[in-house]
Amino acid sequence: MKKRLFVGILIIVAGVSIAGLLALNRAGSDSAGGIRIMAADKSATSTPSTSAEMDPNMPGMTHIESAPARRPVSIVLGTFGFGVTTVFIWAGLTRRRERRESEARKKASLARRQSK
Amino acid sequence: MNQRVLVEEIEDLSVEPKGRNLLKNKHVQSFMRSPWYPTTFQVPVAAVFGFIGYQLFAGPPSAHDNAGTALMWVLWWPLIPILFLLLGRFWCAICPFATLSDFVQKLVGVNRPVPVFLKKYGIWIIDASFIAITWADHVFGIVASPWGSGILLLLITFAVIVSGAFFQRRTFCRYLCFLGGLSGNYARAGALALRADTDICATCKSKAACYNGTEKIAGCPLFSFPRTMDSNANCNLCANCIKSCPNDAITLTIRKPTQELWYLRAPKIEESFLAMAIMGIVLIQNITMLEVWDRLLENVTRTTGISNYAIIFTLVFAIGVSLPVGLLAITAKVAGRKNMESTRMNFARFGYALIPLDVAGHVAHNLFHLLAEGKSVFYTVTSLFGNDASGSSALVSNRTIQVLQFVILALGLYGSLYTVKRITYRRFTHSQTRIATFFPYALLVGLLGAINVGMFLFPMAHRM
Repeated sequence: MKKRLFVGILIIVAGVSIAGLLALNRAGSDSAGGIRIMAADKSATSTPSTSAEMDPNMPGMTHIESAPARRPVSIVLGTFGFGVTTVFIWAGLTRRRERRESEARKKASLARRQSK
Repeated sequence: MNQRVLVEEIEDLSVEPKGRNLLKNKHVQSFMRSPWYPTTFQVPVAAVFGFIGYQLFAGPPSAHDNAGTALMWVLWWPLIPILFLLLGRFWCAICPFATLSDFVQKLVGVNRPVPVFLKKYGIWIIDASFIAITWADHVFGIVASPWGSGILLLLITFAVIVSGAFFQRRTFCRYLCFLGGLSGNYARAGALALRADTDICATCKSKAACYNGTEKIAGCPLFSFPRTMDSNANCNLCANCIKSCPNDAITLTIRKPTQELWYLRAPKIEESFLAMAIMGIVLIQNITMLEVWDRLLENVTRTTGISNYAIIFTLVFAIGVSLPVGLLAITAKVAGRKNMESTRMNFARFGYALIPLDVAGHVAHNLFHLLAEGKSVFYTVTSLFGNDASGSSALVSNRTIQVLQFVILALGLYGSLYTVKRITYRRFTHSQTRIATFFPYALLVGLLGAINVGMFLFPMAHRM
């Protein structure tokens, strides 16, 4: 049971982390909220790839100044909400079951003591 | 002969002297015992962080115009190391994530005990997550993008909710929070200490109410037992123990900054590692904000043919973080030959001595952002109310900032050198051993201090 709980937590955390990383990756290619996107110029001989920190005038870089800022807020918040809801339901059910089991144990022990 | 003398070295096991007890002051005591403490701070801080989160997702997409980015990275982040130094982990008591964890726990908390692997390896997870977040900041541009900062906040929020839902007390804050690890390290150098009077505790019949709590007061959220506590690293000054102790045994004292580092009894290698990794991270943060960084990138690209920024940065980052760790390991090896302690023990014991320089480097770096970009907080926040004032974001001139940075670094350098001396003199009784131990570490402190000074000589780039 304990093992199953930890594996479950691990899967949820890993899932949300991957979703977060994917969303962060968008932040990397969309530095300062999509105002300035830098992309590697494949035709150049030296091609530094994307970076938020890099000098926009570095050789081999082209700028797409007018790129739209596409921020999937609803997808990210939806994933977060789904993750939180799952955790809440799971924790709530686990707590209820454990309380019931604990009460049953108490009753059983009381009954044993009374029968003696 | 020399060896025989060294074997006879006896460690000084005297305990840290206590300063003036602030709880003797009735105003301080009634404030700390009040049910309004720390709620009075928790509520506004949570509200401000809620506003920051909203701004990061729904505010202007440019970091330059976003009030969330300004509040988070120009105001809060630079102030936090100063707060750690002055008030220890007090921030952890009022942190909105901790408040959220408590709330989730009340709502659905299963209250499982902390898993053994977290107790054992938690600090390594903190080390790794701190390094990973800094790496991700540079590769994904977290600070430079409100969206990235928002995602980071969401990820932390989710981890806090999971921890609060399944585990006891503030498991996340104690064993997983990267900022908690940082604050724990810095709090050791702080001037405020909460302890228990062990003489009174010896007669206590309350079944460790300070740790377990009472019917009305919760137990220690960070799993610390005041009676045996000899460090500030895991005390967030929440005052639960002050409220629950029936004997008034808890003391809140002011001490000399860095004093705790002189009296450490059980140094841990992972905590020393964190201190050195922070040093490396601050160095990397500094170098990436200098003009030389772009030239360095170009040179790496030219010489290695690697054009992917993530790979180049990962290489430089790995070297930067490993540098202070490696230097301490070499110094520990050199000193270990003379003082007859293992390299591992030397590393663990003297890594703490670098904390004052760590704090100084961190504060000096962040001081630039606070003072050179401070007005951006005012501009971005007032712009929400229709004010379109703009202009220089600097609060003071660059020259003034530089002078302040060097003063702070000088204090950190002094603190580290003095701590090396105190640790050496406490551990070793023979003058030969003391000198042979002190000099390699003093050289290391001097070298790292010089690197920091060198970095602050150059103009830095702004965050916003």
